[in-house]
Amino acid sequence: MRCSADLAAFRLSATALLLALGLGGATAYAQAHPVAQPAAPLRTPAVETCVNCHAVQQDARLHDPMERLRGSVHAHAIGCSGCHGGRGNEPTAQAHDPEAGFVPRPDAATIANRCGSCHADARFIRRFREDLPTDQLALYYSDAHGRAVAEGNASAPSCLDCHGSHDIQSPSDPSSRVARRHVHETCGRCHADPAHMAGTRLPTNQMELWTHSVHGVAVLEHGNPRAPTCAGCHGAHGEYRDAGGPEGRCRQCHTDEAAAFDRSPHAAAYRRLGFSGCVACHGSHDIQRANGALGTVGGMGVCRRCHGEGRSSYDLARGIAGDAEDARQSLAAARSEVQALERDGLRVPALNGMLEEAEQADVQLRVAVHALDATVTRAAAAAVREPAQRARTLARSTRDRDRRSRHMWLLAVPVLGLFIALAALKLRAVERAKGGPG
Amino acid sequence: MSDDPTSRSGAPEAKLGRRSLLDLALTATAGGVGAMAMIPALRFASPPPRPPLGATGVVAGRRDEFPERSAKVVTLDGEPVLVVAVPGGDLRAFSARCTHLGCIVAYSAEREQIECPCHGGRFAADGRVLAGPPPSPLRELPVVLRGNEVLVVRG
Amino acid sequence: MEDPSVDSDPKPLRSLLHRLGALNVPRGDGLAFVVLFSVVVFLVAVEATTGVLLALYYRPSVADANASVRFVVTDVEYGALVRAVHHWAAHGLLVACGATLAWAVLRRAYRAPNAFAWVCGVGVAFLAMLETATGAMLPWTRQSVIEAEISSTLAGQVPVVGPLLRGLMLGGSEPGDLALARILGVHAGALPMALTFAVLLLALHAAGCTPRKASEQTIPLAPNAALRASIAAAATVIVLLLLSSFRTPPLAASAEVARASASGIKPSWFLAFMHQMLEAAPARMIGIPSASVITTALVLGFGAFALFPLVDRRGSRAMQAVVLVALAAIVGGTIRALLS
Repeated sequence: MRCSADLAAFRLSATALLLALGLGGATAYAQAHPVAQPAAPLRTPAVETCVNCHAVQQDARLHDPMERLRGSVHAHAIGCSGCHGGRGNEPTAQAHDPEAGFVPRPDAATIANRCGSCHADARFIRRFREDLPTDQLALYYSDAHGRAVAEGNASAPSCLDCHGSHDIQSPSDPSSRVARRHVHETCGRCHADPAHMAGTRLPTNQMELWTHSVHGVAVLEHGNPRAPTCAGCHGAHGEYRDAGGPEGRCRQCHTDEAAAFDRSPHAAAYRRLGFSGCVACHGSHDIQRANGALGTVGGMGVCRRCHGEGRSSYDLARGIAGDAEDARQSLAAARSEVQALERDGLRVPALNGMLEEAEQADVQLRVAVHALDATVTRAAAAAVREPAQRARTLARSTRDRDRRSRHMWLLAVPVLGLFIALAALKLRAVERAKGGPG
Repeated sequence: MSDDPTSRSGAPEAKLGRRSLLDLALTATAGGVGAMAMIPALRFASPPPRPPLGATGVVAGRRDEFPERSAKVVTLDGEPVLVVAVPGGDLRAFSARCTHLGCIVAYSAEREQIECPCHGGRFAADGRVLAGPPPSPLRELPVVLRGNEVLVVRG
Repeated sequence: MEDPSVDSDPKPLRSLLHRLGALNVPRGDGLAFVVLFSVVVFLVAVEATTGVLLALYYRPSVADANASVRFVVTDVEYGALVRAVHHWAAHGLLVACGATLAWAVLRRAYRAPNAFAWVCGVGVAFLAMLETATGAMLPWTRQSVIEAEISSTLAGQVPVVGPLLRGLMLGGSEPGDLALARILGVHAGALPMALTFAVLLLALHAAGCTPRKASEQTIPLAPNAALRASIAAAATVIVLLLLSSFRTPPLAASAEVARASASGIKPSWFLAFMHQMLEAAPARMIGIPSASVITTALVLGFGAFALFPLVDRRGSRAMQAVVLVALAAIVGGTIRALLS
């Protein structure tokens, strides 16, 4: 493919492009995008004569892919034959010659290999981007999707099923199918479709569950750049396969909770029972903020599964859950009292400090609970309750003082009433006197 | 409270006495009401016990209170602010609120970094995220030297 | 005048009071208007006094405004009282103005020779409304920012002068420090000046129209009418104190720290009827953006409401009915907005 004809054609087209853009603009463009004019020829030229015929094709299937390629990351890097094979700059028969590797609709394995021919070649890919990894193909074949393709499963996905084909975009482009806000939809196209997943034992509600989970809300509503999408836990191409699985991934962000849990009596018990650490209590795709939803309100929620009434461990578990819940309730009460004061315009800077202290202790309590140790939880809960209680006391005394001073103002009312009465008497006297003799 | 001259001329003595008593009471009450209204107005205008927060910012301390690799937390508008004397002696101020869940971060002189006690977030002395869950750098606030005084100004 | 000795009185103040006191006020409707007017004047005076006090501590900048109001409420002695009275007197003023105007329509009191008084009265009510609206924006809450945006956008829709008006209101392209300083200037400078002027014109008109001679149908201003006015004023103070003690005027967080969106923000009650009109209208009317149509209609409507007695000199029943229907629509819209 590195024949001189290709090179000549490329140079010719590049010159035409330069003329078309105008010299000044083109120079600026070339400076800003050095990639567009690489020192060495590409594997396939970005401009091929395929366009001459396909641009005038009436059939949209033959025409549209070219249009879509124009806005993609590959627009300046590869032409048609880079993926479809064939001889791009030769007449129709040669261009579409299966002998030269031409495939109109490549199958999954072909796609993976053709993408890999560039993307698994570190020396080649470094010409364009310093930071692109080149291990995706190897990872892909090590993980479920790639293995299914290797086994000949026709419904397993290739690169294009997630990344798109002609209109492929960088994952950092918000319009990309694998952008943070869209990757769950892309996975969901197969994984949320019962028909597609029919042959497997996998559930199809993960996308729905994740969308409403604490992570989904963080990604989709708050735009949190760190919260995990599907790929955050499962990996995109299989990179987390040996990292302890999805659960190992919990630990990479929630380090302190994991450390506390490892010290807890649960750690050994879960290993013995074959439970997964985080998921056993929090769930996986449907993880919620660990308030009442996890079930510590009143009935101990999730703890009850193992520590229900009648079990010997019931009292211990209830003590831990109750301490945590008490602390949270006193924090919530303090917060709402302070907010009520603020709505009435009262400003007590000391209150914010106390509330702050309690909020921070609450974050630490949320970590400490993972130690599942009554003493630790009690101490952490007390650290929340104490400042919260101080805040409530101060809020209440501020409120009382405010109320007292408000009621003091009413002392003026009797005086005003007396004035009204006297004025009314005077008015009556004046009008009666005038009415009499006048 | 001027009286009506026509009604006064025809009034008997006793009535006049009672009426002037009424007049007196009315005048006194009106004066009382007026005086009562003056008290809050004067008290309102007199200097308050605590002066309001300045528009510019908060004084974090004297310059010599900040040796190299030391830090101090001050409050600006009720928000904690971490003032750090970074290696080299420059002073920088950051909102002490961790960008993850809002815990108050602290400076570790030993590791020369800012650390969050809650989820292990680590920030460099210039506020960048080094490790942990924080999604964004600490918000920096301008530091101004006024003579020997270190001022943290609203960002 | 009646008493020649007054002219030679060596004490001019006493002479003036004497002359004023000697004015004759009609009984019946006329007297009621005098008492209502005195309540309006009294409330304007209360607003001026408490307003000056509040201005001692207010700082018109986006960063400080909310904190300075909180400082008044929390740290200044009687601060909560002064703020509450200022708040409730403003709303009381609107109610008093509305009641006076409504009653004037019912009694057709706008007929000659009172057409001028009616124009002034509508002016006072309109200025009071602007005072309350601008005052509510001073603590620079999320609502302030949204109201500044909405009102400047509406002003921008006024034909021809719209963009100029919007620029004058905001002092820039969006609400900020300059807009806040302008709101304060209008609230504490321009509007009080105009309000005082309008009230003074009304008082002069009323003084000019009082009957010269005492008769069966009149009572002297002092002490008969003056006593009634002071009773009304004292009763007003009692109402203000009760409202202030039991209903704290709300103070939302500064727009600087508030993270809430526009949802949950309601317009002030006296602007609610306009809001209802804007909400109910389709996006475009006769090919023009409806906000523009409604703003123009409101400006014309207010103008017509203020000026109709100048045209309708006889005070026809039909015109009265039209104005009553318009007033009922405004009251109905306000009540609907309050209930929703």
